[in-house]
Amino acid sequence: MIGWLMLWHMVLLAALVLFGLMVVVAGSLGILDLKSLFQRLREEHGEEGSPRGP
Amino acid sequence: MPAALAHTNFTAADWAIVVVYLLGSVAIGVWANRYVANLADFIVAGRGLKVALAVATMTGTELGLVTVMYNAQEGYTRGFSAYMIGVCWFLAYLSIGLTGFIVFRLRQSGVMTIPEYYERRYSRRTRVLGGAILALSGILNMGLFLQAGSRFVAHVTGLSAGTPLKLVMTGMLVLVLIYTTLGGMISVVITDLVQFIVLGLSMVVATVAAVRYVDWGHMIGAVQEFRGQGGLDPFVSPPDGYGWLYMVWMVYVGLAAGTLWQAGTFRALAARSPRVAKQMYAWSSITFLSRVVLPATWGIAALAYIAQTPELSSFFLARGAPSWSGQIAMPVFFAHNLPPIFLGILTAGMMAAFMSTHDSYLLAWSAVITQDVIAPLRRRPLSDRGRILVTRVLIVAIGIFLLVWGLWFEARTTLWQYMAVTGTIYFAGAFVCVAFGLYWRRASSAGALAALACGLVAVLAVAEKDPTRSTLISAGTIGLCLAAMIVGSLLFPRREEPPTRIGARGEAP
Repeated sequence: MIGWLMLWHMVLLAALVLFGLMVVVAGSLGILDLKSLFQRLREEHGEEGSPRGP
Repeated sequence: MPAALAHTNFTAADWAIVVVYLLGSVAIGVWANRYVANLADFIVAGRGLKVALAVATMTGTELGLVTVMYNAQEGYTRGFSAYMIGVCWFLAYLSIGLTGFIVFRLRQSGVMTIPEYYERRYSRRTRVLGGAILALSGILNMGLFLQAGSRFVAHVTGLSAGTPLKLVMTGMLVLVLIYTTLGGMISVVITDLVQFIVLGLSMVVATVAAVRYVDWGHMIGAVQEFRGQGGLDPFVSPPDGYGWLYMVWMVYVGLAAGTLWQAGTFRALAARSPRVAKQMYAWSSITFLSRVVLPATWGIAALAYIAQTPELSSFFLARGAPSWSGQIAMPVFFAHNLPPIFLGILTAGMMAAFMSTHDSYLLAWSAVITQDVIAPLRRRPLSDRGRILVTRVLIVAIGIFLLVWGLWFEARTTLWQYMAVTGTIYFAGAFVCVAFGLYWRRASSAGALAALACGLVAVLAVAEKDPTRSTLISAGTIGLCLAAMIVGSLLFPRREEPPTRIGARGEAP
């Protein structure tokens, strides 16, 4: 029983720390990625994009 | 029901946060419409996603309000053993990310949907049957999203469960329909990123707050008292624990969902390259651990809190407590204990999660019906514009179905059991078809059709009340599909090479 409790405690800590770090890092990089995706789409479709959509 | 269930710290300021956040998300979606110029932009965001954005958007989709609800319910009903489901998913995603199992070759093939692969590797009939089963399973799977979301909103905000709540939820669904039909995948990507950051940080803070509030020692005590050894050891046999067979099923569901669940696989297919798709899976393994473990912790904290609160324990822990009481334990716990403003931010994140999961799923299943069922059955090819129009009509039709189904269907087991079973209708056959198609040269169209059809046996488990029997039916269906593929392929072998070499050896065409 102690073994399971220690394991679950570690799993919770790992999930908290890793997820927190991932949100900060991937969130920041994701904003940069999004900027470059729009840059590419703007270049492909022109400055105003596709005004009426598909 | 006790009056304590209606108590909440949610204030007018929290409502203001929720409204501003949701309207902002919709405005972004509508604005993104200008960048949709063709079908690839609409469905896979022009295949331009890099790793960080792909991870964020995959998390945004796969971390919905319903995900949080069913994992919290598992934590509440199964204690710490529920963490094991997260560990299974973590290992499944990490192994896919490290090896590129299935997703690398799928992305390499350039297909937009999984059934499209069926046609390349097997036949058009396989594509149509696979597409229809995928859409059936996917739409059934999201059938309870609205109901679970309503329960969260009702208990956190204190809205009456009657007409006001139905209006709010219907309004949210309508907002989703508007921005998904307009912006397609590009709007989905933006709103997912915003949600990933807001909800991700809120979840971490809420978990720390929950554990600090009820105390780790009390959580252990409550699990031991009310859930016994099965609350700590996931391998204890049912009905007290999950048991081995359940865990094997979970590993299978994790692998199959990771590689083939269209809503998530869209991200792999929208990734910039096969390598990016692999990396995305490796990093997303953290999400798939946390999306189970953090909400399950909330469920356990809710159990501990309820056990200490007589007005609540007389309802929740009574013998005849309704089956859905486990769903509302977590929202009631938060409504009682989180401070205003933070409660508003968390609720806004949750409601955005509700919307972002809906948008991706609506897009996924409507695109599958258009691309893989309607288009292949038509004699004259459908233009890009025609396909987008049909996809948009289907998005609205599925939305209407969800409203009706969510109102009258009540799951007879836990939410997660319902999700896993409805997913298995598709996974059981699809995983076999794609894995054998990619890695076994002798896999034939007859074997694929038989495997897909056998997956429908899992429908029997949808209305099953006994979780042990529903686990047996689901695991048995997987075995049946495997046997059908092998026997079907050996009895009716492939007569010629597949239309492209993708899938047989993995080379790009």
